[in-house]
Amino acid sequence: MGGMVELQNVLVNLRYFALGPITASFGYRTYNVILGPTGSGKSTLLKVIAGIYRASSGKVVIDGVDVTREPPEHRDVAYVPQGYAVFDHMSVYENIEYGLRFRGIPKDKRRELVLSIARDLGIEYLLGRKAVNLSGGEQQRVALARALIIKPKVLLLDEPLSMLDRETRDRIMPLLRELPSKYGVTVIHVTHDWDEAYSLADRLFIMNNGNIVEEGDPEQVFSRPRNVFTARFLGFQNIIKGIAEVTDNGSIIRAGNILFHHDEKVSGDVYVCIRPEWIEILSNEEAPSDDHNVFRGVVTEVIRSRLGYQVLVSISNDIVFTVLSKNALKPGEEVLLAIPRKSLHVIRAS
Amino acid sequence: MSFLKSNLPLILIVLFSLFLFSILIIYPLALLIVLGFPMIPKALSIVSFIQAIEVTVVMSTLSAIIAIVMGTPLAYVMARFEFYLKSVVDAIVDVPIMIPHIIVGIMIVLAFASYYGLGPFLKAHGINFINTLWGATAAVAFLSSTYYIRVVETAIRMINPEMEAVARTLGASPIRVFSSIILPRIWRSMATGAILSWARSVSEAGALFIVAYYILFGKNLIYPASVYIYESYVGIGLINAVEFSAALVAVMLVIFIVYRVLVSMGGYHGWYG
Repeated sequence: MGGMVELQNVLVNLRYFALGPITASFGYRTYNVILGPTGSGKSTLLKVIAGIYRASSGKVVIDGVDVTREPPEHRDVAYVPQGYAVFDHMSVYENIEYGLRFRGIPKDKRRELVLSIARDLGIEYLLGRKAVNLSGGEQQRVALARALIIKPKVLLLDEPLSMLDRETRDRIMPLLRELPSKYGVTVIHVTHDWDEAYSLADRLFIMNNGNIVEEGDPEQVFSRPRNVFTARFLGFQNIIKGIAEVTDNGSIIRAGNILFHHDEKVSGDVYVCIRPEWIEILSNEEAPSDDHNVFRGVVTEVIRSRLGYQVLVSISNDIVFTVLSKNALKPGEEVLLAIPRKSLHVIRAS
Repeated sequence: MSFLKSNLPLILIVLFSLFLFSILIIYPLALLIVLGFPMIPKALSIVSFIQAIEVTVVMSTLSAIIAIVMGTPLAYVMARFEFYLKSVVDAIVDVPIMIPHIIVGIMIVLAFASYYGLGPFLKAHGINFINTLWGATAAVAFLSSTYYIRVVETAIRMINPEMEAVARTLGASPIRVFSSIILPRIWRSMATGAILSWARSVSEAGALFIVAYYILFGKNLIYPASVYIYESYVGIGLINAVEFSAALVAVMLVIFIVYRVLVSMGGYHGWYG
């Protein structure tokens, strides 16, 4: 079955940027997150779905209807841009009512709908105000109310949380998460923040250089990405190139003068991808178990972070691991690193 | 003391700039006002001068209307779209303020009142550009629309294009987007551009020397105000010209002030819809 939004070989040529060809499907009433670095083309993709940019070739299908050549006003999508673009020459009420004015809805009914959505989003108190000097969180809710009131099939959110402080973000996240079920809308949310993507997505799309390079369920994409770009982008800070050979109980991967033991059978050129939090630091007395890869190294750098200390450990001349540690280690200290064999993620070099 | 010492070069530069500003701009203006002011009532009692002001105001207002009609869509396109040869169009918009005004007069005559181009066609239909409101308006519109286009273009550039995108997805057609999003945010700039362009037209003399030294207005031949003042200077003398100059400046100032007050009274909602 097709999704609510189907992109079929969509190609966009802008003056300084080319997007695609992209083929993707966004399911009915699902929360989809497109994750990618700045300049990867995610906002452009959103604008193609909205009809603000035209696809040079390929098809955009919304709810079974080919809308590739349709202008934005005939697509049944609502768009909340980065920065929200609240119409600050109008009142908050007029902002929210705006889309209803083109739908032949009588004034009384419009008033009822505005009040109801404003109540829903907790911005009833703002309705009489001019839409200037609103806080980030208020602007975000006004923009959401303005978008949702027209009952769109698709809601496009461009970096909706990037302008908000941490506390406001944490309050808005649950509100976003319930949009598909509460308003029956397919959400496509674009961001470069993987925490945000991981918390919200039903389905995750990774973009790079104008293409979707990977898609899947967030758990899978975060722990078992299929390509090196995704791994690096999603926080696999240790990516080591090596050559794999199959053995009796899995495989051995040789990288410079160190060896990794891996449970799965792989061979040829591979990348070994390890998240810093998967690596344990053992004290010298602790005996490592057999199901771990163990390396001895020297601490070269220690950086304080929110989650503890990020420690760089040099294993050999050209291999340095990034490890998370609860204790403040000192540069020059000798440590033993243990990486569980089963957590090692290996990607075949293509 | 050390503040003075460290900022001395800056202070000297500012003082020198103020000196130039005073001698070049304030001093001539003040002298004209001081000498001419008492003579304004007399100037404004002369029928031929009143007629000159009248024809000048009509010509300049028509030219400002042309600037709005021609300039608003052009300013929008220049602010919002990238297209092939955009830099050429951009340069052409500036041409009128860069070439000598006498040449502009020659071009208008050549284009609309000669044996070339549209001249014969216009003549066949009884439309004459020499010494008529047609020719005078065409000449001053050519010269003054640049000011309007640039002011409005800048105002449109200041509007976040995402607002237009949002309005479109919410169901507004491009015309509705213009009337509900763009217009409420630029009408003040449109007003400023129009008055700038109007003032530029009132001030024009060079092109009018060629196209419309006098204008057939009703059944009379009337000098445009600037030509009138020029005539009084070469025909009668300096003090006579000062009298009319002060009167014209006073009339323009009054119109400016009234206009400003009107614009400041209108809110955003004057255009909202």
